[in-house]
Order: sequence, then C-alpha cells, then structure tokens
Amino acid sequence: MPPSIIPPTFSQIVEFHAQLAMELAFVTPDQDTGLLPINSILMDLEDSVQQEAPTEITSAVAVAKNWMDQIFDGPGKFSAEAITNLTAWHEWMSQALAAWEREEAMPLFPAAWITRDIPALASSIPVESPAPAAAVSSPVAASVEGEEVGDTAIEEIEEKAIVLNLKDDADLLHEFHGESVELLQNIEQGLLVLEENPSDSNTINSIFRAFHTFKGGAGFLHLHALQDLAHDLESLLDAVRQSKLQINSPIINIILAGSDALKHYTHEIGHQINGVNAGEPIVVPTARIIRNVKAILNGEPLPEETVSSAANSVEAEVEVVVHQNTECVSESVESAPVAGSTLAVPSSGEKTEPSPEKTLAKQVPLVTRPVEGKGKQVAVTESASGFVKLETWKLDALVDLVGELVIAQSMVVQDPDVQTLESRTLARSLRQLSRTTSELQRNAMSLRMVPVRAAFQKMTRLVRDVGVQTGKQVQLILEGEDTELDRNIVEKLGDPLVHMIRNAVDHGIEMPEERESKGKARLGTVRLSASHQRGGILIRIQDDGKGLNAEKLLAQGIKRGIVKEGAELSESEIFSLIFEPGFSTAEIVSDLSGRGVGMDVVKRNIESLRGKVEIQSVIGQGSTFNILLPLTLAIIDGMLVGVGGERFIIPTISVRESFRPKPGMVSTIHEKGAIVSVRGKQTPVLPLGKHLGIPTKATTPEEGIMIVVESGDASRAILVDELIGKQEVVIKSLGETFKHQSLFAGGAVLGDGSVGLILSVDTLVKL
Amino acid sequence: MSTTSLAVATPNQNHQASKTGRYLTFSLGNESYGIPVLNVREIIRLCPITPVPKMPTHIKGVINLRGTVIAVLDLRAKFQLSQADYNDRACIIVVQLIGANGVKTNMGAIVDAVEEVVNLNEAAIEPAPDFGGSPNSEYILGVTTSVGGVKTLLDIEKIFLDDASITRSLPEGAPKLADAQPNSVTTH
Repeated sequence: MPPSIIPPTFSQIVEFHAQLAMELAFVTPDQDTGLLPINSILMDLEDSVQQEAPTEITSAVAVAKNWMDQIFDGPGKFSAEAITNLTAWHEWMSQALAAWEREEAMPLFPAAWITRDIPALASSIPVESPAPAAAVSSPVAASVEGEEVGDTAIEEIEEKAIVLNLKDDADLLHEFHGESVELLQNIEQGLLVLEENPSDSNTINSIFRAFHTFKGGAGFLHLHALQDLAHDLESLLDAVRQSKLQINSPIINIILAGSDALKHYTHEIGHQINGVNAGEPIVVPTARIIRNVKAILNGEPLPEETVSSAANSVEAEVEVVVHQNTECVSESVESAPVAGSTLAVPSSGEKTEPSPEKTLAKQVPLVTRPVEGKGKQVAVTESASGFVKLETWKLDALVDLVGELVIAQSMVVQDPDVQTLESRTLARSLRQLSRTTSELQRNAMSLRMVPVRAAFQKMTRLVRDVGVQTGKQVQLILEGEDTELDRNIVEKLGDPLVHMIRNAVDHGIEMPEERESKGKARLGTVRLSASHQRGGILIRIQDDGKGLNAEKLLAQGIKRGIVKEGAELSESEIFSLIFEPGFSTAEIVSDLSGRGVGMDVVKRNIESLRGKVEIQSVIGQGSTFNILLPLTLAIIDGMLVGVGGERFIIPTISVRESFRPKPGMVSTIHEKGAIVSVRGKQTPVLPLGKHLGIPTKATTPEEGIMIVVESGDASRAILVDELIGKQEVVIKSLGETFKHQSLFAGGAVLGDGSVGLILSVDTLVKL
Repeated sequence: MSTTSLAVATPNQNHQASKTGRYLTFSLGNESYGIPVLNVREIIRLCPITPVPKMPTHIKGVINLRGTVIAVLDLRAKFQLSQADYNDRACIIVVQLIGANGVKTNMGAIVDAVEEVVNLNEAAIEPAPDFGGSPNSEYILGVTTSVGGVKTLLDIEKIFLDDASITRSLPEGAPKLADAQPNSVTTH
C-alpha cells in the first residue's frame, strides 16, 4: 500500500479509538449499556477518518458503524457475537493505527467483514423488534377512532408505554426532565431557524446533538418509548446532516411532531415527579411518527391512504380534540404529522386551503400543539422554580471578585492610617463591612457547591446492573450524600466512581455461593460514603468482598518489571501497584479491565482534581478505597509559614502536624541529613530556608517550627521559622513563566494584597 | 507623565509586519528603549514584589495585579546592565502577550522611568547595529534617533516569551495545583 501521510486528525482518531476501548469494556451481552456512546464515538470516528485515512481504516470504521446500525435496527442490544466482533474489530484497529503511524503495511482486512453483517447476528435479528420488557402494550390510537382513521395502516401498531421508577430514579428523572425541557426548546427553536434557512448546517447539527443527548438520557432511564422516537428522529437528522435528505416542510413537520410527542412525555414525567398520577404508565402515540420517519428515511412516499383517511376523519376528530382532555391531545399529536406532511407548515397557519371546513379541521390539532407546548413550559418553570442555570464562568468571575473584595476590605481595615483613627462610628462601620463581606464570601463560595447526591445515586443503578450481569447479589449503601463539593469536582468524579464501583462489584464481591461457603452473607455490600475530613472531602468505597491479594500483586509487579526483585514494599505500596498503567493480574482483574480500562485512569482523574487515593485491604474481608478530595478547586485551606522575611503557604490538607522540636528530637546523619523522630517515626527534615536559599531567623531546629507534610507514602518535616496562621486562599496560577517549575503549585493573594506562594508538597517530599 | 494607567491596548495586529507604529519609551539607567504600544496593557507603580526562589535573577517575582498573579521581570538584569536601586519614578509596565497556544498572558517589566509615547514610521527606524552578537541583539527591532537621543526598540514578545518557558531542573511530573484549577491568569 502507498505510505500515507499522518494527517493532523490522527491523534483525534487515536483518541476516539481509546474512548471506544473504554466503552467496549462496559458492554455486556443482552444489554444495551454502551450502545449509544459507542455509536456516537463511531460517528465521530467516521467524521475524522473522512480525510486522508487509509482505505482500510475508513472501511473498517464503516463496517463497525454498519454493525451498530444493525444492532439499532435489530435487537437494540449487544449480542455476544456482536461483542466478540467489536472487540476483534477494535484489536484490528489498534494494529491498523499502529501500522499507519509507523507507515507500515496495514494488517490484512478480515474477509468476513466484507459482507458487513455481523456474523451470526443477521439470523438472530427478529423481524419485528420485540417490545422491551418494561413496555406495556396499551390500547392506542385511542380506541374507536383509531380504527376509523387508518384501517389498513394502523392495525398492528402497538404503542409503548413508559413507567417511571419514581422511587429509585427520582433525582435522575428530575434532572432528565429539566434537561429535556431545555433540549426540546432548543430543538423547537432550531427547527424554526431551519424553516427559514434549511441549509444551516450548524442548526442541523445542534438539533441532531440535542436529540442524541435526549436519546442518551432516555436510554439511561430505560424510557424505551422516548429513546426509540428520539433515535429515529436522530437518524432522520443524521441523513439530513450527511446530505442524504433535503430539509423540506414535511421533514420539519415530522420532527416537530416528534419533538411534541417527546414534550408530551416530558410534561407527563414532570407531572409524575410532582406526584400527579404517579406511577401510572405514560402512553403517547408515537408509532405513526416513527413509521413516517422510517418511510422518509427509506425514501418512500408517506402512506397515501393514511393521509387521506386522516383528512377524512379529522372532522370527527375535531370535537374530540377540543373537548376532551390529555388523552385526546395526545391523539391529535399522533394525527398531526400525517396531516402536516401533506399540508401546511404548522407555524404558517394562515395558509389557505380549498375547503375551509377541512382547513379548520386539520389545523386544530396543529394549532393546539404549540399552545399545549406553552402550557408545559409554564408548568415547568413553576416546578423548577428556585433554580437558575447560568454559565460557569459568570459564577467563577463572581467568586473571584468577591475574593478581591475580601482582600480589599482587609486592606482597608488593616491600613495603619485607618487604625490610628479613633472613631467609634468608623470602627462600627468597618465591623459591619467585615461581617458583610465574609458573609458574601461564604455565599459566593457556596454557589459552586453541590451535594454529591446525584453522582452517588447514579451508582445505585450501576450496582444493580452490574450485579445482575455478573449474577451477584449486591447492595449499595450510600452515606453522606448531602456532603457538598465544588461542582467541577463532582462532575469529574463521576467517571472514577463508575470505575471503582464497578470494580468493587465485579472483582471485589464474590458469587453468592462462594460467599456463603466463606461464612459471609450471600448479599454483598458496597458502601459509598462521603464525609468531611482533614479540611477536604473523603469519598470512601468499601466492599466486603475478597480483598486484594498483596502477594499476587507483588508477583505481577515483579514480572512486569515495575518492582525490582527483592524490593521491600509496604502493603500500601503494593496495593498502589494497581494504579500502574496496564497493570492487571488474572486473579484480581477480570476480562473487563483486561480490555484496556485501568485504574491508572482513575488515579489520574483524581489527581487532576488535586485529590489522592489510598487503598486498604484485608484479604477475604474486603477492600476500602479512600479518595481524599479538596472541597473546591479554587480555594484551599493554607498554613501561612514564615521563612526569613518571606511567607509561604502550605496546603493544610497535606499537613499532618506541626510542632516546635525539643532538643534531642532532631538527629543528624553524617552531619548533613537531619531526621526528626515524630511519635516513633523517623521523618527526614527539610530546612525550607536553606533549600530555597533564604537566610533564616532560626539558627537551630529548636528555634523553628517543624511542619510534617505527607504526600502519598512520603513525608517530610519542613523546618520553617514561624507559623503565621491559617488562611483560606484562592489559588491563582503563576502563569507561563513558572510553568516549568514544580516547587510552587500556585500563588494566592494574601490579606495585605501581596502574593504568597503555595508550596507543592508533592515536590517537597521528594526533595 | 502620570504613573497611572496610560494605555489599554490589545495587541490585535502583528506589529512585526511593519515597524511603523506607536512606541512607549522608557529608560533604564542612561539608556532609552521603546516597545510597541500595542503590547502595553497598563503602567503601574512599583509595588512589593514577592520573590520566587530558585528562579533566574532577572525574574523578580510575582505581583498581584487586581487579583491576577503576574510575573515581573527586571529588564536591567535581563539585559545584564549594572544594578541600581529603583527610585520613585520606577514603574512596572504590564504587557500582554499571546503565547504560542493562543493564550493571553500578562507580564510585568520593571523600568526606571516611563518617558513618552512616540509615533515612528518605518523610515525613522534603523536596523539593529551588529555588535557581533554580544548584546542580545535578537531582541532588538531597530534603533531610532528621530525623537532625540538613541532609543533602542525592543521586540517585547521575544523577550517575554523567552521567559514564559524557562526550564529548570526540578523533578518532572510532579502535579501542579495551578494547572488543575480553572481560573488561570488568562481568563481575566
């Protein structure tokens, strides 16, 4: 093959490929987990390999995409064959990408792929996709009229009902509801834009993404009816996106009808969350919309007879629509696309029609929908009252400004000139100012804090799913869900939590029989808790499973060359080996992690949040993962220390203790390295002044203060002149100039307006 | 000239395409220099600077510029001029640079005194004399004599971007707090 040039998109392709590895690791036979993300990544991948990629890779991506399409059209979940194939495909891609990068010959394109079918899948696809278990078939197309309307076309249409799991998913549903309302609004607005300007590709993309997001959310909550409809609408938009279809008013109408149906569902979900009709199945007729979408996708004309019969029966329907309640509104929604597809754009209601009677008849349902839509929006605003969504940067800017205000305030109060004034009123005003500013600061800080509840509750679902998949009996106990954390942290905590919880269930908890034979309860327990500790937040994941086998870990570490033979490792050092990239032992890690998902990712994620992970484990009794996180990314509790004339900040989270050494506590080795014995533990002393080249006031260790800091397993006793105080500081980046030094983690503006440098404990303990 | 805010300009055009433009001139000892005004964000009074240990001597340290931490360079030290105490005319010129990654960065430079803003056209600017490489001529845009005395025009971006990527021999890979936090200097 001709040597291909590596295009700039290569790294992107590799990135998508890596993402696929992550997602593939989570798929399980007969489950739809990962279906949507994989499809989405493949679509992105397809976009990026459009240019300059070798044909082998382009076709391979097309093959995989085709498989996914088949899965979507067919069973809607992964079969074991599909997973095997996808895994093989992924491996082939790894080789192909590597070959491409090295400009070598591509690996042989497997002949089996040329047919583009998943072997053994095609046969297993049922002709009619079975209704998901959750779906309740219900009398649709509302009873009698339904038969009148489309005698030939409707007979076998079965509408899926959704039943909400209000108890377990309440928060998720709430979130989904709020998000959906917004998405649907965006979709509607986008469609109006499209009507004016059908070729606006940005809008098409944004509507496509909105449906995609909606589909993802619905899928996650197992709301199949919504998911299916959103999926079809997404496919329609995808076709438009790829210029296979031209936007025209029938398409816009059908998308509008679809989004209205989704809105209707959303509206009902909103009601049920608020306790109206809670628990009842929600049925919104969507089958006809779906069928019409499919017809458009297949390039067929819309079923003529439905159209005419709809038109004929509309007169009869009108009264129903006007007089009756929601059930009939839903019906009008159903008939709308049919009418709309032949007739008018709903928004241009003034369009004249030959028969005024019919026009009225047809427009009624069309018109009622927007009204209905508005009603929903009002309802939503009411139900979501008390919440304002705003862009993060605005919040960050506010918090920053408040920080400045606090500093300015303390500068005024501490100003020597002000302090000489002996005015009672001034003193009172200043006190008032101080109180208000600190209250303001607390409030501003709290704006960014959200409870970990939502992130935690998603795990309930995960544990249940993984438990079912692996055939284990597991319960998840949540504690301290109300603990608040910076929202940026909560957002980034999701992925590591999923990994660790999944690991706990998959690798930690044993099968019920095994547990019983060991004298444990059949029901395994995973405990997820959050609490305040050491000025930060401690997230603890505890399982009562089999625990980590230190011997096997060590053996594997030596085998892989991570650990030198004969090295003496502490237990926690051995446990930390699981964080090494690519580390796995057959005994402790199942095929799940063997597929490229590593604990190293977890550790990296947590470290990027300035947190740390510690592992405790007792073989046979279970493991505990402690994740220690700062409360917020922007503010830390700092210990202000003085060395010579300079002041430095040590993050309190890393400080174990501080004390003034007594004579005899410090001993030297070779008259150079000093160690101090802290409660029987020998800790190396780091004279900060000496290290930084600052002349110190204290001439002997006994005149200074020792601050014992730790990071990971390493600790140092930092010798400083004095302890000035504790202070909450807003971390500021030192900027490009200091990017390459690692001694200082950042700067902070101190009370007097000058900058204090924050020492990086991770670096200090290595000195 | 007052030492308060003088010019707030964004370097939105590439001054290197043409040297014609406005220059802010300042003095260092007995010498006079100029930098393109487009780079200058503001001029502030000399304020207490927090030294950053273990950095090259010409990096004076960091200051708090209305809530943002910026690095301050000592141009005397940078050009290896004789050191002298700064008097009350000394200022920090805050310049804005756009780094290679498109991120805007503010940095400060201590000068003895700010002189004026002059308009110079291409014809008034002579190329940098060749000293055989001993003075840092790569920083020099040119020399002008048209506004009284010899003024050396400096390519401020080159001077600063040099220092924006100072490498030091500290253990690599140690996580840096500031990198992880979203409100970096550049967001202001």
